[in-house]
Amino acid sequence: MQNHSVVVIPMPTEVVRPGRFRPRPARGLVFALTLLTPWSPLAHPSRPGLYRIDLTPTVAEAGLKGVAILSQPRSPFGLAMTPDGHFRFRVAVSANELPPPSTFGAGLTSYVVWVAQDNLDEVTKIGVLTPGKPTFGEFAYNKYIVIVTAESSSGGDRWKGPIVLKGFSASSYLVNFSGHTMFNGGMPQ
Amino acid sequence: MKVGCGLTCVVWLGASPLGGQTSQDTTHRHETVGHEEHAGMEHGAGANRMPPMPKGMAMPLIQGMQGVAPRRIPFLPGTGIDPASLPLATPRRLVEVRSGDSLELTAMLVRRRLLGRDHVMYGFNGQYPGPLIRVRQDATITVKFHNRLDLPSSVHWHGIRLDNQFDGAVGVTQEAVPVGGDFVYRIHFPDAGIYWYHPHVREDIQQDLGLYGNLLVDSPDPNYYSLVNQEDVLMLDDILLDDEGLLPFGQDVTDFAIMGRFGNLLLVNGEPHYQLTVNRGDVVRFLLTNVANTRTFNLSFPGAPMKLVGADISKFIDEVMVSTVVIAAAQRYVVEARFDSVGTFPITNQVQALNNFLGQFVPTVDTLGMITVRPERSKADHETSFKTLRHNADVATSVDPYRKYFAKAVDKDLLLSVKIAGMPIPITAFMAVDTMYFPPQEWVDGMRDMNWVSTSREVHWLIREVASGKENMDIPWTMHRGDVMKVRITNDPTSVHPMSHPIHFHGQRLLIVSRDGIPEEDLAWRDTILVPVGQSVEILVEATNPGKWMMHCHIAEHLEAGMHLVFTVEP
Repeated sequence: MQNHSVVVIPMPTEVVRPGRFRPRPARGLVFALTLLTPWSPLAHPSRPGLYRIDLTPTVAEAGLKGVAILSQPRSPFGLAMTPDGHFRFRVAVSANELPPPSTFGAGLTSYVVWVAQDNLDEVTKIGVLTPGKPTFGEFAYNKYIVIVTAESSSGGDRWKGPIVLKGFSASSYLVNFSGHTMFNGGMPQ
Repeated sequence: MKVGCGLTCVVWLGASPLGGQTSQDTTHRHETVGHEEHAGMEHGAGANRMPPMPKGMAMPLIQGMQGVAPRRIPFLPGTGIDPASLPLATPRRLVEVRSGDSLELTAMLVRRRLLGRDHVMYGFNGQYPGPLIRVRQDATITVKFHNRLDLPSSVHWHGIRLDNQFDGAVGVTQEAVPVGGDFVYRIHFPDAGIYWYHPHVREDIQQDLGLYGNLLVDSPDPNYYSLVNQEDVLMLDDILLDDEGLLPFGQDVTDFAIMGRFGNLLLVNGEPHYQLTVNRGDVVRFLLTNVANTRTFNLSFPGAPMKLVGADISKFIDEVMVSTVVIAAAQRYVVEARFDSVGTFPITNQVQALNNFLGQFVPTVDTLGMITVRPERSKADHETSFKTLRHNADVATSVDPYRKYFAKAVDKDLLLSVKIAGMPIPITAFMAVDTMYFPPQEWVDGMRDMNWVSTSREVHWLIREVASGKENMDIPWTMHRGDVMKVRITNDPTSVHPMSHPIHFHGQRLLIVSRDGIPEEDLAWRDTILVPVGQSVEILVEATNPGKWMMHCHIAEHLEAGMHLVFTVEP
């Protein structure tokens, strides 16, 4: 979306009919935004994938990258759900070309994969990550972060070491639109 | 100016009574039906009043939405008729019919009482749901249908592999039965299980207003199902109401075309307060049908273990314990639950509803009914049977001849998508920035302004053949009797507004082979499959029943917005 310039186009005057939008001149900005809609020939904003999360480094280490591939656990319904309505996900996390964990601190011996709720209230330990092999696990969160940490021990249920890789779920990109001026009474009138 | 719309409705033309409001006075907060916290534009506006928000959600009106309403002629049934003159609808009755019997089925205007208030709705034979028709497998019956509605209608016998001419698909197998007209259906029941019937013209109106009923087809095998203490047939539904009553429909085009019309009052067998009483230790078999226009339920019986027994057209080869049942529009599932604790327990629909405006998930619990477990022990103890997961050799035998096709190449590759054009500008603007996340399944209408205003003029749901690029009714598709066709259906996650779709095949049965390339373990014959956003489902369609048949999304508004095709099975 950011590649497209906003052009303010005056709104045409319309006869008001029932069920029709009654435009106001100040809606020009809104109209201009329509040029950026995903079905507009001008724009196709990239949407994060539902089932793939690219993991990016938190430190300035060249070449660090990983990926979390999500899938649905077995379900006769096509959707695996918890009774309280969370989607259940199976995740396979892999990362290649990771340096020795000790690169990130003395005494660090292993990489561990975690999935945390976006508010970090709950954390699910997925398992120890072996470079070149996927680490599998399951979780059921709405908004979440996939994290790879370097740890001195692989046995804890919370991470203690530095975060090396992280990636956000597509659902994490949901934002509160009430902060946008166009939806909060701040539209130029 | 006042103009007639050709039916019984009236629409006023002129300046919207909602015009002139500012964003400050248009905040609408709705919790649920009957809640008194209402303010703003959605009430008192007659035919074009804004629908209430889902339970637990509130959001301000989108800037620029003042005065916006769907571009459709509002319609409610029975306008001009004194509701008191209509018969008060009664709960459904069981009708047991034998092969060769005839049955009268009349679609009619009724008075329905919901939460103490009367509404003009529709009903088959004055009942809600329609009569529960119980018949033996392999029977053939005649149904004399009488249309006494104020709309043309028909009856589709959902899931029944019957003669093509009696499928009820208006525009494909018959013309709509006009108001006051009649049609005779002859129905043969080749498969045991739970099926249902509903109109196949403007389902978004007629089905939503109560035109649905179940068909319970008994196997001659007394051991077809496990022994249970009770059996109940549940039709799951919802309806959209506000303080003024039913929210109008679109007479000329369907409204709520993006997400379908989500109701805010959930119903089981047409009632908001389903109740069942059982003895301690009882095993109950529930035969479930989702008849809602669009809602998918995440159903559970908290505290009661549950076993999944059957799907649309057959039992599963292997039973499995489940903690919840995800049932999409038009699907059926057969489950057994055991109630071993004394007390009163809810039947719940629990979801993480999505509030698009706030970008939040809202934990939501709907109570569909209550089950009271008495302290008296079960008269017959079926605990051992309940805990045994059966392998149904009869179903395995029926599937085995098709296993050789599981790995065959895809014969038909279909993509589910949508085009939207011509929506009101504020909504278009909102959609431009609200595109980052669409869940695999939408459970509620979290952006009601946008959805309500969308009609089948602007929204075009698509089934696209990947090879040819052809869409919907332009897709050529001919099979020959005996063919086994592998079909891949992919739900495009990159479309403007992806949604999961329950895809229904008329007249044939099918097997799910894989989802996203992972072989399906829970095999059963079906007629309606859920295709969540981003998922790719491979199915085998067994072409056994000649004729021209529909395949479509069973979200009623998506069907009206074009999401259907016709395939032919040559004799």
